[in-house]
Amino acid sequence: MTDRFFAEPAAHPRLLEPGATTALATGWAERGAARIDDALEPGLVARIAAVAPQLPVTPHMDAAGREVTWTSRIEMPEVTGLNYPSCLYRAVRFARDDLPPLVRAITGAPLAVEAPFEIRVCALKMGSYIDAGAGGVEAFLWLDAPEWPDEWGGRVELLDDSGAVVTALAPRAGALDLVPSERYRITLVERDVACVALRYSLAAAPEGA
Amino acid sequence: MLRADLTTDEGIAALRDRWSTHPRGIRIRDALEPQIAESLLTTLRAQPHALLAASSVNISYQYLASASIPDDECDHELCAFGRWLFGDSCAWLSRITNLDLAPAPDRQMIATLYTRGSYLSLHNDYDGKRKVAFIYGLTPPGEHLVEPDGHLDLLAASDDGVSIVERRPPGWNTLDLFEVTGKTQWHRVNIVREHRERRAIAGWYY
Repeated sequence: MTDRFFAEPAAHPRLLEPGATTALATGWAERGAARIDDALEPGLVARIAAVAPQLPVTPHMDAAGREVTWTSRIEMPEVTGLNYPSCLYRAVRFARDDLPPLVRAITGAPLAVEAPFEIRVCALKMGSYIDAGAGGVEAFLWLDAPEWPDEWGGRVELLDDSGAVVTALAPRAGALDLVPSERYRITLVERDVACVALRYSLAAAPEGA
Repeated sequence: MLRADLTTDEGIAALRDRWSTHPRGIRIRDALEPQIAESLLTTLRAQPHALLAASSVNISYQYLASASIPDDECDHELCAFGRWLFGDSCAWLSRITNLDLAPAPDRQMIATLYTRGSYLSLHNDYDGKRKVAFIYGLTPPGEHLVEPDGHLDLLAASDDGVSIVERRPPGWNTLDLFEVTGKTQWHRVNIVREHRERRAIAGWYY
């Protein structure tokens, strides 16, 4: 990871300043979810958003019927080459090096992105939804989302122990949403609209990591 | 295969009357013998269905489907149903519709499963060859889908674009038939918002 695309942080510089995550950590403690607007360095989301629609998303339903999304998974090489736009390497840098300490600062949990070299595009279209999964933290970095009324569905909802909604967030371009994997859902998209995110699953970091 | 009274001269005459007075087609309830419907449901529940989804300017859809071609030698209910579908049903339905109908050339029987998130956007089935669309409903009794979830809307052009002429709920042992020879015979299946099981076998006569 000595390449120039990996060398510098891809997170927004303000997030690297001391105390930058204090309010987010407080919000996590109170609500169990966090939204970070403009999470990446200036211009990076727009560059990724320009590339992401060219990646071949295919409809996917998990075996238990807990999720229908349009997904593309691109395994990035560890050295940069000519085949991929630089912004995707910067997304890898964010996943591998920037996101885990950010999540730890906010949640207190030492987690790692399960597949940091994988670009996992998650598109929500009409009929898409996600129900809660296993433990850890799920992160959605919204790349492209129009003004998104609640009645369209597609909201990230955090649930309490009784299943009641305690936080609801509509997709918003540039925002990074962090939610506990076992207590969230993305509501059914009921209109013929679409939004695109990079999706990261964070789980307990391997020992020694 | 069909309920016995539907194949008598009187039964066919009654259906022909309904067809001629309902330009957007008819629904035949209790279409097959009940034990056949039960057997078909059991079989389809055991079959793997693949997720089909597309999103384009012309049509969008998302549902699960399973395709099969009936075996001429097999005595299983699904193959027997397929042989009827691509055989005797054509003559029966031709008498009802006064159309000269033929089965689908590929003899593919398409079973669909609409569950949460499934839908079929507004479209017509026009391709210059299809004449009558059929939907044999196999949504299990008690699998209540709140309107409009999974309901079939038949629509017509209006001043506001299109308007609903008729809405049909998912059916159990129902046979929906409607003509698709024109470009304005619009229809759609509304999105299913809950985890439900809306099943059908659907296709066209040519």
